[in-house]
Amino acid sequence: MEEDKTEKYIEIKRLRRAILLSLMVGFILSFIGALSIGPAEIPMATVFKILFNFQGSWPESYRIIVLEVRLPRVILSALVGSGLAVAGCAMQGLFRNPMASPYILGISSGSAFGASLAIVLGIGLGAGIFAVPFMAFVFALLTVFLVYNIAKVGERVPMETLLLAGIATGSFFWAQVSLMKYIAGEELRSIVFWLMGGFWASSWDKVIIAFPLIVLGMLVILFFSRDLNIMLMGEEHALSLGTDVENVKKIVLVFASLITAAAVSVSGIIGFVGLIIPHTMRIVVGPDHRILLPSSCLVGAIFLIWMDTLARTAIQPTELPVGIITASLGAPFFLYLLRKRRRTTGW
Amino acid sequence: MKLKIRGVEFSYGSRKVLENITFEVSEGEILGILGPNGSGKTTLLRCINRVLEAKKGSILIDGTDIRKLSRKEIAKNIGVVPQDSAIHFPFTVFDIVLMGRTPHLGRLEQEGSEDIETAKKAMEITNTKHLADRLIDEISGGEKQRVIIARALAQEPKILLLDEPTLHLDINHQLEILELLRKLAIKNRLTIVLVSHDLNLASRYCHRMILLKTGKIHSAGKPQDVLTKDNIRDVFKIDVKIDYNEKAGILNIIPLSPTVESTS
Repeated sequence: MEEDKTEKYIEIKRLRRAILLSLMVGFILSFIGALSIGPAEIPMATVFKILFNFQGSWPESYRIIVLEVRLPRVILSALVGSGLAVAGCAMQGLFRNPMASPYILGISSGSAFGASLAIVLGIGLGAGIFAVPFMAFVFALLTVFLVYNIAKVGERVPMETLLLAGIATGSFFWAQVSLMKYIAGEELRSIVFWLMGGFWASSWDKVIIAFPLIVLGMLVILFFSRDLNIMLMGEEHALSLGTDVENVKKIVLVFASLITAAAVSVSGIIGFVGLIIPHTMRIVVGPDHRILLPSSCLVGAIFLIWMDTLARTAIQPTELPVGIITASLGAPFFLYLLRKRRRTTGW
Repeated sequence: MKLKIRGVEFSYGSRKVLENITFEVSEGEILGILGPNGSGKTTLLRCINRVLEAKKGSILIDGTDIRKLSRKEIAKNIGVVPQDSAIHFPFTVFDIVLMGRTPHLGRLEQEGSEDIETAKKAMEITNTKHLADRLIDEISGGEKQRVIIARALAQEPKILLLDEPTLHLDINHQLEILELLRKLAIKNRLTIVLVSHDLNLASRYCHRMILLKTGKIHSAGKPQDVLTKDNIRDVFKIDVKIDYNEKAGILNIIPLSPTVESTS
């Protein structure tokens, strides 16, 4: 009887490793699979060979399609998907609220304002074609900085105040976005497209900008997995177990915001991923962030890779905004999970 | 481990909540903190493990000022059972108890077999072992309270602080928790500080108690010396009838309702 429980614990550990391993395999297959799909069907084996610079007989155009057209796009969608899922997971943990998403601190509206400002004013800022992502990024961080300092009381940051400050600041910036739309004239279409989010403008430059920020952010948050677990029980419990609550809050907030700002600036506002992926994974693997964060990361990447593949291939030759697809397909799946689990309490 | 509170003061803004609090608790002793709502009991408990920072005075554990200790070191010495234990996440009981090992683990370190053994022992003492694979949000209030105590014990603390651990429990489970605390004090030589609202039960299980009134110590000492008619009238503003069974050392405090008083 008594040994059972311990063995169960070890068994769960083993099971976790198996889940992560299979998600990893799923990720790699999705990655290569998505590279092979498109107007030109390129076999997965060929994609693999091109990626690893093998010699072989295929049209030179394949190499360009895979390396220059599809690869940055697939990497970017994987980065944004995993980043938003991890940031959302961290926010839900910090706020102890299943409705929290990476955009909870008003990042989305802040960056939307930055982007639309750049579009309407047509400002280059010496950044040329990067004006829009640059402004989106700057305004995203500016918003978080603002919200954080409004909510701060002495050395502490009460989460309720932070939440409310985020909502209020967010709605202020949305109003400014509406203003921009109103005066945009011909640029209205660009703003609307940016707001819907997507990866059609993917490039290696964007990958180079987003990669270090998102990966660094995810690693830092992963480092605080155990603290996030303990903080789920409430701040007083966490303090009494030796967790430096205020510091963990600050660090996780900063890096979740950095991830989100980077993601939004390269792909616009893609909703749903940051809210639903962590939520879904919590139902599947449980609330322990040590497994929840890495599995959300991998599933977020897999999910957005496929959603974007669908977005660019569903109605060729044009494409759908990926945000429309993520919500249309993801929401029903999530509702199915919600109904299926036989739990009365918890998330 | 000896806990010494010396001249502790605390205020929320300009409102003084605690003033010149001084007392000691020894190894193997249960000290009760009693007083009406808003008298500063919980605040005092929070100051002891530095969840709140005392504005003045010092808290010493075996002579060491806790301000010199890191949060982790404090957690290795002081286990806490807070009042509010609403955990709405589907962690298993075993997960929760294992979290008590946190102060002993590095950030990325996994719980080893020793940690699992310690957690199991804590569950044995608190009689929660059979609940190990149940979800924390699916067990009863009494069970949950014992699980939180098990988590505190898994920290292997020398001092245990509890904020109304019997709140919302039925009389049977109240006694169960208090018997457990007595066992922990006597057998495991823990130093225990307990906030309570139940004068009768506190008087039965606490070796000594302090009575707080508007943030100051009104009286301190053995239960029968602290819980007198006069003291209770002074602090709680009610009249009581007290039966003291000297042989059993049991106080029986019966509150008299104001209407009863006026008719007599």
